[in-house]
Amino acid sequence: MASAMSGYDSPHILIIDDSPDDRLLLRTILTKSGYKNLRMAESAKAAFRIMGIEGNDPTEARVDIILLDVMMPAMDGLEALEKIKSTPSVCDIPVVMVTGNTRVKDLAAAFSLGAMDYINKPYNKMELLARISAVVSVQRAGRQVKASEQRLRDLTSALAEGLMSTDKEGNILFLNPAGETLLGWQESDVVGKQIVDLLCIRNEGHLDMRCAFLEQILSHSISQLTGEVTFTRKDKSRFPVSYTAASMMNENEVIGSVISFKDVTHRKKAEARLRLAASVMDNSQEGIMIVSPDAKIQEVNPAFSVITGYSREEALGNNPSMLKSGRHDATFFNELWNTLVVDDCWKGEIWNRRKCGEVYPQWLSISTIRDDRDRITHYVGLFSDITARKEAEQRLTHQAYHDLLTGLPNRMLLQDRLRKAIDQATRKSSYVGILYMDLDRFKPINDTLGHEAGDSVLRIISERLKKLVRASDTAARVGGDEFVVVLDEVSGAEDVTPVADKIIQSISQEIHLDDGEICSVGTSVGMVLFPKDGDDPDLLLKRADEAMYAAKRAGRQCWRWWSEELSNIKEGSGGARS
Amino acid sequence: MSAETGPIVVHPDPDLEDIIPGYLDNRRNELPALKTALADNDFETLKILGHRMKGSGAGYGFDGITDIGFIIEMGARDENSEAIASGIEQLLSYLERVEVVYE
Repeated sequence: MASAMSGYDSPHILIIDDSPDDRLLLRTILTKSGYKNLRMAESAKAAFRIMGIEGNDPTEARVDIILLDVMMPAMDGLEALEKIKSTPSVCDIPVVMVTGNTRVKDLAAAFSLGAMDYINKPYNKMELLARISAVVSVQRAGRQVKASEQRLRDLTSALAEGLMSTDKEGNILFLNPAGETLLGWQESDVVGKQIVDLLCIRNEGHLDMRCAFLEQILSHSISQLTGEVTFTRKDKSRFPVSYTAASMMNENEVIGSVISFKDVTHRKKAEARLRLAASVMDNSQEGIMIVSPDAKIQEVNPAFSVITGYSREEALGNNPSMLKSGRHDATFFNELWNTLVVDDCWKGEIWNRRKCGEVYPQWLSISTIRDDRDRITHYVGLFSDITARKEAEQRLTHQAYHDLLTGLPNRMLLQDRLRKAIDQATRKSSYVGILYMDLDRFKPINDTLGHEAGDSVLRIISERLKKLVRASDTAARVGGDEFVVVLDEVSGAEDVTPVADKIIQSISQEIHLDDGEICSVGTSVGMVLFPKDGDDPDLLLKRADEAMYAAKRAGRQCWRWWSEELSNIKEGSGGARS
Repeated sequence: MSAETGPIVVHPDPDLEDIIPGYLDNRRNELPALKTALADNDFETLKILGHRMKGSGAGYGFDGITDIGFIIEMGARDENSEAIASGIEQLLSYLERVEVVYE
């Protein structure tokens, strides 16, 4: 028997018998047979103290098997058995009844109370050892099952995923701690309950079709089934789960199911966010370009292709420099990258080149995307084609400085140009000639042929003026029929008067209107010379105007230089304007 | 030597050799208690002592003690003093005649 103990702990056997001779006999037989851990109790009360379930000084000694005498004074064996089996901490210990009276009634009572076996007194050593050996085997098997269950429980407790099992009717048998947390139920609350009733959604009495997998794995042998479904928590709230389910088989028969599940709320939300982001990306009117840290285009959106002309396939994997226009120098890009490194973002205007070769302006915003460890994972560039905006701006700017009817510079631009011409002439010690003119006989055209004809006359005169001056000169319309010409860098009056002659001659040429009408106008020109006649733009213009009136007084179709005497002539004394 | 007076040879399990003398001493020491209980008609004590003898005797190898224990336990249960007295006499005789031989 001693050899039978090898490899195992000797079981801890508690002998409860009021007879000292019987206790001694059992101790001797068992000790001689290799059992080492024997505890003796002369009464049930003493035994309860040893087991730690009663008494002032319980020991909670380990007890694997109890040999319990039936007939004892005070509390007899059946009474003691009843207490043991009703005490959770010891109820699983196998109890072997020992009886001198093999009364069937007592045995039946003992077995119904949970006794595992019985041994007759007086002891037959062989029978005694055989029965105890059998009980030891059962006890060990039980311990192994328990240990195995505990290991399984420890394992499932360590899982972050919920895990549950059911019998073949779908009644829950097991739920691990993670499952308890996910569902809000304690395992003890749900054991024995129908999994479908507990977790699945019913719409007007009909089971959510996605829960049909539970019925499948219980009705067929299914090694693994995965999917997503909505489960209901104890508080009736719902949450999406991803599950893996399998049938539990015993030989060829389905005996239950095992289901592991995890809450995928966060993943679902992330997916929804991704879908939204993808939708925004797809529908954005702004071009979007996602670039890896090693400057490879990883993703672009449809607007990218619309703006740049490059398809997604053409762009992916390429360096964003494929879009460069060549308009910006290395300094520009160095500053861009420096800003990006420091601020994680750069915004500004940049000129890029479309696939067709057209260079266009875009408003570009580049952001740096970093991971949890602050490493750059991507650059995201958002850009819009601002060609139209630029053109509109240019139009607005042009309109602010030009006459809408003739396209000539207006008074504001004239003053600016005049100022610059003066500055330049001052630096170069040269002259600026300023010619002020209005049209003679223009008003009758407006009155007889209409304003449209008048406008045509003004446009035609403007074109003639433009042709008469150099590109560096300025011909401006400063009033209804008043024009000013600024001649840059002239040597003196001798460079100005030929121009005045040409203007007078050119303007007096017949004008052929679109409707076949022919008309003509004339002009009188007043002239000043910077710096001789003044150094202030406004003053110079005023004096040129005075000179123009002098020309009118002189009979029109002629020019006059300004002189001090002219300033003394009261305005209007030289005759009416045309 | 007649069966009633001759020695009773018993061959107990040699594993029990250490505890056999003590067991027989306990039986001998129990005789006064048995007699006192009989004199006092203390059938409860007699029942317990008889039951213990019945349960232990054969286990130690002494089938005769088990038989005598049975007589005393039954006598006590029936409150049959004569039967009990007979049992006590038989125990006395058995203890005087028993010879233990280990093989």
